[in-house]
Amino acid sequence: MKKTSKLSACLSGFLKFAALHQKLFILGALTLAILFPFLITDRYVMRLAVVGFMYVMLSLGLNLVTGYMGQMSFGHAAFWGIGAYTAALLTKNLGLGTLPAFLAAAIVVGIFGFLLGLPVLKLKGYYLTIVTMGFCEIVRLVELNWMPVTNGPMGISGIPKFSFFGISFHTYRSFYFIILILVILTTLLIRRLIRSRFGLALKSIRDDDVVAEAMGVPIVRYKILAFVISSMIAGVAGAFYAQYITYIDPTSFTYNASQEMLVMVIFGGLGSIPGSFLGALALTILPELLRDLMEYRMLIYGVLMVVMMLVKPDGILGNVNFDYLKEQAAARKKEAVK
Amino acid sequence: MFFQQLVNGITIGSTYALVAIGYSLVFGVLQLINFANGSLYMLGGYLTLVMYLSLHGNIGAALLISLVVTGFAGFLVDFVGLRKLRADNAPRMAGLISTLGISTVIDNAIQIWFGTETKAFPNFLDFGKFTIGKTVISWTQIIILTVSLLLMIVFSLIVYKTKAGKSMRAVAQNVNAARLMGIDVKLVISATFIVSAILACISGSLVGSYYQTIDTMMGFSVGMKTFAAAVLGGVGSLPGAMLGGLIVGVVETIGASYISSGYRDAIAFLILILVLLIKPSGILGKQKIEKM
Amino acid sequence: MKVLTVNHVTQRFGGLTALSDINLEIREHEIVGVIGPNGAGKSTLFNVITGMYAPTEGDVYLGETCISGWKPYEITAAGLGRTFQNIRLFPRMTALENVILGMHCRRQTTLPQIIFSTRRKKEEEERCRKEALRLLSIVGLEGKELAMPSSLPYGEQRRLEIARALATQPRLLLLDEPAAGMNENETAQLLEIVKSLKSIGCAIVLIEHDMKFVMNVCERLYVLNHGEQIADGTPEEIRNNPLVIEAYLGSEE
Repeated sequence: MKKTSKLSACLSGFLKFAALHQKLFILGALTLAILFPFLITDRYVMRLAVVGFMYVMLSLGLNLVTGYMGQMSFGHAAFWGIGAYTAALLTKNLGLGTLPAFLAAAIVVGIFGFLLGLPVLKLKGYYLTIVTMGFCEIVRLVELNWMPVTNGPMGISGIPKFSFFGISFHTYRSFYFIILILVILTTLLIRRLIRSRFGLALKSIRDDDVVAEAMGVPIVRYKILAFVISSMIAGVAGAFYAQYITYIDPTSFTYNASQEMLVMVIFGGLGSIPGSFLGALALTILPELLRDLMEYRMLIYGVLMVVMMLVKPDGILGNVNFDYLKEQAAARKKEAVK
Repeated sequence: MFFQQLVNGITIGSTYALVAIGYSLVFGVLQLINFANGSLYMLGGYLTLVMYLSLHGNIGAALLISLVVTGFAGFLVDFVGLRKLRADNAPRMAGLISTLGISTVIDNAIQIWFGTETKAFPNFLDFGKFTIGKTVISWTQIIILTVSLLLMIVFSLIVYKTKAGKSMRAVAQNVNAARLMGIDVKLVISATFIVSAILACISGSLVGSYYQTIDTMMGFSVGMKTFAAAVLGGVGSLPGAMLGGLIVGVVETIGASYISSGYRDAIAFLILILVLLIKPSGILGKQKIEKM
Repeated sequence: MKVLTVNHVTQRFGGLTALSDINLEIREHEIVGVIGPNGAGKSTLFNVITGMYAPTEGDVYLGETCISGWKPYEITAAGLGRTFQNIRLFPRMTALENVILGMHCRRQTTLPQIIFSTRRKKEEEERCRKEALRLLSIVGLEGKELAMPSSLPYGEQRRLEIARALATQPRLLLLDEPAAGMNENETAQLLEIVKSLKSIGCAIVLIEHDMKFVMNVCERLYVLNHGEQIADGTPEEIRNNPLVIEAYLGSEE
């Protein structure tokens, strides 16, 4: 007992320090991220970094729905997959460049998100979880059975690599920077959304949807909007994945993948941007270090979900509001001066 | 052809109904979707198979042991995953995540133990078949239907006529009031989980015997379908869950035979979406009045 | 000028008639109480007015607009704020955030403005923050803006709820048992705040069991019993109304 309290004191001390020096931390992390591909030349590590950042992007998007709005979605692997298939088909068959492919993936997935969210999010309660589970399974079945378009279980191979305005990119370093830019843009987007009336509305829905509506928040509109934005992010991540890996098949975009993303969000911290980074990167790297336990991966994830709920239901960095910590420290300082 | 599909649909639907009752019971008492329900169904099927093989075909003993163990697993879902969350007054999503985690643990433990391939299951209900007109009916189907209906009747009698059932309904209506009236709420909740696990186990064993195979994915898909059934009938309503189970079974079987069997598992999902669009409270569910 | 008109409202749930033929009129700057024994239908009436239930018969007007059947958030935007009988603050948002959320329907920034973080958005953010701090000080919670609701004492939670309701810029404020569970000190403080709200310019309707409080603060009262309106008038008139006395004595047995 004493040990854990010491640990949590240590953690909260560190968080306070981080809160006071937010800019420094962000700047440091960014510099490190930019220098990283020049310091590391190992292809395996680079590949891990690229995949890790892709999961960061997926987790950030999912966090909007799960962490801030308080609804669990198991549809994000499906959205990711739809984005990947859209980009694959468009770049391979129509010779579209990377940017139009990203845009198309976002739009197509956004439409799916809207159509799925519309009937479900009108209702109070947790129907979204089970409906998205079913959606994920159906999308997989379609990918598997719709031979003329998806090529069924054989998947789509020979997807062109990234190309911007006719210039194509083939090096790991360029893949890394493309995903890094996507992650930065996603982070900015989520950060701005949650620090606005939109984010406040989402949090109020999470805390008490009946009261949120009574206080003037059109809750259905916001829930659908958040779900669509979140799914679009997953769609773009899918478009990135298709052009990065150049071969896709239905086995990547299953229920299990959705669950992995959820575990990343939950483990890192519900409603926390640094939490999504922590969760996604940690759960990309750890399984690689523990290769012998690969068979037990999903089992461990299951245990992790239960233990996390029992010990810290908001995740490691969940509910840590850095601005709040900063203001608190400032207020305390003011009092000390007096 | 149609009647044949109808008979098949009713048979499988009656097993869905048993699992759907589990969802409805737990939802009624805790307002929580127990995601582990489908996994308990699969666990029940596998345990029956294992016991049957290791007891050299003594099906009675195998079923009994399987029932006890699955019931205990159901108890553990609540005891390990939910009891502390209730004490902490944790947000409702924590409970969902917790049952999902347990479901993942059960599914993957079985997968690691037995592998993902389909296993042969003994048909311990094989007593031949007979025909009416062109429709072939096997005794397996008759027995499954009889057992399911009997369980539903017994179960309804327990819930609506006995003191234990009354406590259960009291807790469902108002936990605090029930506690004040001297009802052991913890006991009632545990009993609810045990009973729903036992129903899932019976259902899993019957289905195993009916199809003569089981696989590790059956928990996931049946979990989805029976949840759809519970929503269709009206979440929290017992007769609704039974009705919903039968409808999903029949529609799915007939749909699969006329459209495409590749999309068989999608049918229940489409039913779910349609119900949510048209009448979210389900066929027999009551519209809940929000208390302020 | 009438702020609220409840016109022959009847509310049935299945076979149960919770309200029958209720008529209210609230004028600007008025403080009006709705009283009655337990189960008289006061809360149901509030829920009809705020759009939680659509009335079975009759209409509710806010100013000149008929709002029956509107969604709760539309009614709030039309100028009706409320508090809840059993305090319902957003537990994982700070006091300040709770109040700022109340301004939602008065804010204009659009999604593109949010995404591109325009100057307009930043200005609005700053304005809301200042306004929220002002509202917090009106209800006597200055310096508590960073507190989580659960860390505040009971009386302050009630006042925070009032600040949140004020943030919606209501023409009419509904207070659902604002003094319930408060000690004498807290009640006295609340009395001052409610009286001071009059100067802000919104009318107030409150449900309350604390008779001393009601008689002190309200200018007019409506009395409900068994879903029916049995009397209305000034506190003085109500105090001496035999029907009211009977209703209360009858229910206290």
